[in-house]
Amino acid sequence: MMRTAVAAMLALCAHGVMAHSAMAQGSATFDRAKQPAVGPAPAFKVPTWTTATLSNGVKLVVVEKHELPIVSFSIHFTGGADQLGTKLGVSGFLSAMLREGTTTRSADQLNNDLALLGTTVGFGVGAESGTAGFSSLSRTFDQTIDIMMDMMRNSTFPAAALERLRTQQLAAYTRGQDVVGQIAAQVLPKLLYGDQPYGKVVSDADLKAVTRDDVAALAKQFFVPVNATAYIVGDMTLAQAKTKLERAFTVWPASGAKLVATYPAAPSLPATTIYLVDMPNKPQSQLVLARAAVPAYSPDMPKVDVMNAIMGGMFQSRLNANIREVHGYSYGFNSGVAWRKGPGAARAQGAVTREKTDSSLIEAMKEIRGMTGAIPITNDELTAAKNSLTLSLPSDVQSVDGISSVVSRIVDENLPNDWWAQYIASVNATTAADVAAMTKKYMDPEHLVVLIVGDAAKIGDAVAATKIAPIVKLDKTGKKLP
Amino acid sequence: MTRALSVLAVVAATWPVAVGAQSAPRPAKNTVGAKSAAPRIPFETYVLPNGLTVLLSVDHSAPVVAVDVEHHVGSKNEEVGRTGFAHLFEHVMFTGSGHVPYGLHDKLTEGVGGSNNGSTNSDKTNFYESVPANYLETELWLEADRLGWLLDALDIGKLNAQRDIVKNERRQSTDNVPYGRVGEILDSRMYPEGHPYHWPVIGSMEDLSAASEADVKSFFKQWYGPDNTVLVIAGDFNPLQAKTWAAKYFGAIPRGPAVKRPVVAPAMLSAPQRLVYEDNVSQPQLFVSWPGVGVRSSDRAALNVMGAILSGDRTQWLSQEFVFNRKWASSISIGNGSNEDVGTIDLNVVPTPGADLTKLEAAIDSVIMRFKSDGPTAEQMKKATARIEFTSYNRLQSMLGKATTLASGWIYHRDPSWYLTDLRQTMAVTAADVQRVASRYLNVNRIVLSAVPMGKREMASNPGQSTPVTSKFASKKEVGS
Repeated sequence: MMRTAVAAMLALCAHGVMAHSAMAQGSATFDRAKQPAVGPAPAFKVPTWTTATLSNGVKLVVVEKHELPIVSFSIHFTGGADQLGTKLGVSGFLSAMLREGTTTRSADQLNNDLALLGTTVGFGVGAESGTAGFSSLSRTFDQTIDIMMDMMRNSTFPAAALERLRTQQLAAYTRGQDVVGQIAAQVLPKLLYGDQPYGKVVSDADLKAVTRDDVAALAKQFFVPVNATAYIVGDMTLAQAKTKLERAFTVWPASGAKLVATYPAAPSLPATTIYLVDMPNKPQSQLVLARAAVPAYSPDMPKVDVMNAIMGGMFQSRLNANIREVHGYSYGFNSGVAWRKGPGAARAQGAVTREKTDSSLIEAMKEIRGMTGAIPITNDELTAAKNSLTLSLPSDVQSVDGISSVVSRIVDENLPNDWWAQYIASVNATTAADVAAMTKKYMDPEHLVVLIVGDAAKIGDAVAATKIAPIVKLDKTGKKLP
Repeated sequence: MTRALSVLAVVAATWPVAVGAQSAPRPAKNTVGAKSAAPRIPFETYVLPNGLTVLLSVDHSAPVVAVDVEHHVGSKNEEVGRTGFAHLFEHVMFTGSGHVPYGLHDKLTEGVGGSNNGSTNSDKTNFYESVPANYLETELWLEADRLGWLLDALDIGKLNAQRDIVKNERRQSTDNVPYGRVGEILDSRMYPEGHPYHWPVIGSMEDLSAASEADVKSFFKQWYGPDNTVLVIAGDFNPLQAKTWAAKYFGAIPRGPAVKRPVVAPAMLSAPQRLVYEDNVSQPQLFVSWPGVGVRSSDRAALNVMGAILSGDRTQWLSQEFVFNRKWASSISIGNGSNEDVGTIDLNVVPTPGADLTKLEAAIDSVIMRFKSDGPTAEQMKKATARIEFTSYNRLQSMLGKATTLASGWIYHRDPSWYLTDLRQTMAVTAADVQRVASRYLNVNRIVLSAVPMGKREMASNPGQSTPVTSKFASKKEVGS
């Protein structure tokens, strides 16, 4: 045992006294059924940030936090594959291809240089935005960002590496075809959005069509300073950050044009329809109820968050309480909203026992319909939902990555500086009537996509007998079957 | 095996639960520890008269407090015919207790902006909350009530409901997942019938069906005494006040009976085994499992480093040869998994479609032979330990991360600061140590299992010599299970 243990022993003696006097108190009788009183909730303090614009046009945001010698660094890019008109499947290769070597480093050298610094650099290009970044010790920041810039600016994108990655991605695609959740994920967007950009899903044919030139072109088009905001959170001052980034960004001059993007409106949905995809011999079915909802940061967003928490966002939510806790049909049935710049999807879903697929559907529909007014929202439910959304925020700023995410939301979306305070106020002002109205508006039980992936021969008749909606049979890619 | 999943495959779920829980019957493939210069978690410890060990770690950097209650009991303590019971019991602990009605626990955790969950592995079970700091007393009240008065509120209806949920957990994590049963098949072959690590944490469908109310009572009385438990509080709190509360709420819970730990024979195979398992999959995979060591073995640190050097990144031995040079595999990984008493070293290959598993196995063996004779380079050793310093700082950011680190040290070593010993041992590993453990453990007495599509046994490695197997823990009644 070392010094810590010695200190612990001393502490033990000191607290022996304490514990004994406390024990005397403990032996006094008290009413265990009485819930302890609680003090006031800790206030949520959004960390303060400072901004600057760098010579190449990148906006810089810094939050200082000096307790530990670590730094979280990320660059957020506005616009993604949808806005850039990128071919489907290309963006999925960019991150891996950036590890395949630069004009001065082979892939193995690149790997080893980062490994010896004890870190990795991550890139992600999404449909509407993208990121690049790393976490490091503050003292290895300069070396790490130089490697990151080398990857962004000088990658060679070897064709042979693309072939190796393509083989891997095609194999992963094939493996995914054995998994009910994966089939649901690839069919649902087509049902919700049809031919709109949000309805497009990468297929094996798309993966086969990607070329190394596609990937190289995307990197050139995507890594543009004018669309970038850099975040530094941790053990670094604004002055240090500016100096370090100006030096590192000399290889990344200003270029490109500010991206202006538009987003499609939510498509209208037909009356509720059940779509059934057959996967024989599956002991559980994937059950999804969904519809296209509302863009992020619309005035409805806080109310939709409260609605979602009560419907399936919390463990104690209506769907999980019913389908899991009361009936035991599932290990968990939840809901969520995929917030996007356009109308993202509101979804309730879970894996349910094959023999209880019909019963689970009946219960899920009952709960969703109930939330439109038939089963009134209680004050207890409202309070728990509001608290879970707002009182959890202080714990989000424990880590440098958490702070970066809380602050970047405001800067990336051009929200007012007091947006979090406004959001908390709006959540807390949400009423039971609002929740019912949001359910009616965004999870309308009469206009839902119901998707079931499972053993059709064993569940089909029972699902039809619920008479909840007509059944349309689909193949695993979402094509209608006769 | 945790109580609730945090994120499911399709929806970006919003449940704030299941933070870094130890979950798998085959333990996480830990790689490396940290430098001796790593920052320490300040803590103090004392023992209540009823035997409850209390660990307090103050950190005022965010207004959050974590409470972690860990019991030194897991699936290895189950009795024949009751596999899966320790984990089922973990679920029962969330159904209310003498003074806390069902549902209140969630209301006073996620319903006040916090989170809660529990987890069970072969050796320990834990329950935890992470909440706004003003709820510390409330969480101690909740935890003490289920530790002292669980049985006052127990009824068969609650047990039955959790039984169905856990059966669905088994379907979702094991039966309905490609290759999901491979782990339990390997363990059941590695450890003989009756060995405490023979069965999976999730248990068999038949045994879950058989669990009774009487089992709940006797398991609780046997294993959930305060003297078999550690309570950790980490975060933004006043330690004097916390001690008063710990004594007030936990002090009156009586000591449990003497705990008898099972006698656990080391993992050992007297002959190689070659198996083929037909699964609901479209591509084959290859698995190899060697007998390894428990967490207290002096070879554990070197085995961890060995795993990182053989398959940690693209320039490491197996990855470079099979993913990059020969392109026979999409991925290949090997790692050490140490449970409390025993462990295994496990290799998993996702072959490139069309790759011949027999040739693949032979080629893997020749790389391992070369590794045994040449050993790792200095640079490979350095890379395997370079990430350590950063990781050791990073984990100190979360109150719950600190709490579980201290608790694990107490459970496995009765030393909360064992993570420092772990780091020191890992940093002291030499290339010669790695070479020595490779020669000692990566031997011919091992299990080679090919998981192949239904009806495609010929895709196995050395199909003519492979014995067909199925999982004895899957339901005998459920088709497709």
